[in-house]
Amino acid sequence: MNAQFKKGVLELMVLAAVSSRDMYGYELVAEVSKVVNVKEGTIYPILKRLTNEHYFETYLRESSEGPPRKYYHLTAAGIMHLEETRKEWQEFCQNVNEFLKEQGYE
Amino acid sequence: MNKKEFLDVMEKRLSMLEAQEREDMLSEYAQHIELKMQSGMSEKEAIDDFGDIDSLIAEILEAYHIDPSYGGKAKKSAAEGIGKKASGVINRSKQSFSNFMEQQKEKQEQRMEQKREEDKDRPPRWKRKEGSGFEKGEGRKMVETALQKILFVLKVAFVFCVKACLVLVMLPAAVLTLFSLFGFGTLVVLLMQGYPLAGVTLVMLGCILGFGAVTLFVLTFIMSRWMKRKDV
Repeated sequence: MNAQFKKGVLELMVLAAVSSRDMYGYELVAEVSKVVNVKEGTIYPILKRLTNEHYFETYLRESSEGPPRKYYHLTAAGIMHLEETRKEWQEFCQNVNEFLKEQGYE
Repeated sequence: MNKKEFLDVMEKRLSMLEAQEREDMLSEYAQHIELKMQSGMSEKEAIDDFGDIDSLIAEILEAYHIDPSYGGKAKKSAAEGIGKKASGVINRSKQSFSNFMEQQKEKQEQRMEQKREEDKDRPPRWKRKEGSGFEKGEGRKMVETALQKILFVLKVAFVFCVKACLVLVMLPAAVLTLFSLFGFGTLVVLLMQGYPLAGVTLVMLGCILGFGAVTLFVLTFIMSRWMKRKDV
């Protein structure tokens, strides 16, 4: 799949995934790469950027195996941002699908 | 490439980032590799799954809005050994850049802190129904309303002082305008009678225009402040 294509959608997917429950990085990567074929490393910069933009908060929690893990939590700003991007995405999809239909692709 | 090499390369290439940020990023990747190895992959496989390290680093830098070629260039010129001077300049610019980033981040954090404080006062809609949230914040709220009152008084005092200063500037200017108007009239009459006073008359005209302009300018300032307050 087109890399440029993926970049925008990944942000939305990451936001949506964390909105259901707090997750740590590796878990998120696993979750997202179930659906989209992404390179493993690319999720972390997105997480970092969204954290820097204060859409995520992070906290450490002990795990039964290994070192404590950094969990990501969606902030109020994040929830709003997710809602916005989701709407944008759906509108975009709808428009593209309609266009395809008009051009005779079902 | 093993884990240590991978992290070393990353650390070097992300050298322009703040230490804290870099540590954060590296620890995420280190943990990722560890978890992959726990799930039964070999170290090499886990790292190969990241793909090309150059494009990975480019993506990280992009998340910080840094031109990915920046790190590469700095590294390349250092490797080519253009000279101590050149690399010194690069290092310095790197440092000042990271300082700048740090400052920006601090500013942003302060802003967010402020916002968070505000958010605490205004609980989100879904929390408003719970009474307990309010009780907790009540003490702080009282302190904050007192603070707000003090701030308001200070603001009013400040506005009053500024206005007083403006009036003090305006009054002499207005008086001088009137005087020069009077002088101008007298001089025009004398000029008409044939006295050689053309130059002085022109100077007087200049005085009228100058002082008049100052008076009107200050007056509009005072009036606009007054009108704004009326609106509120």
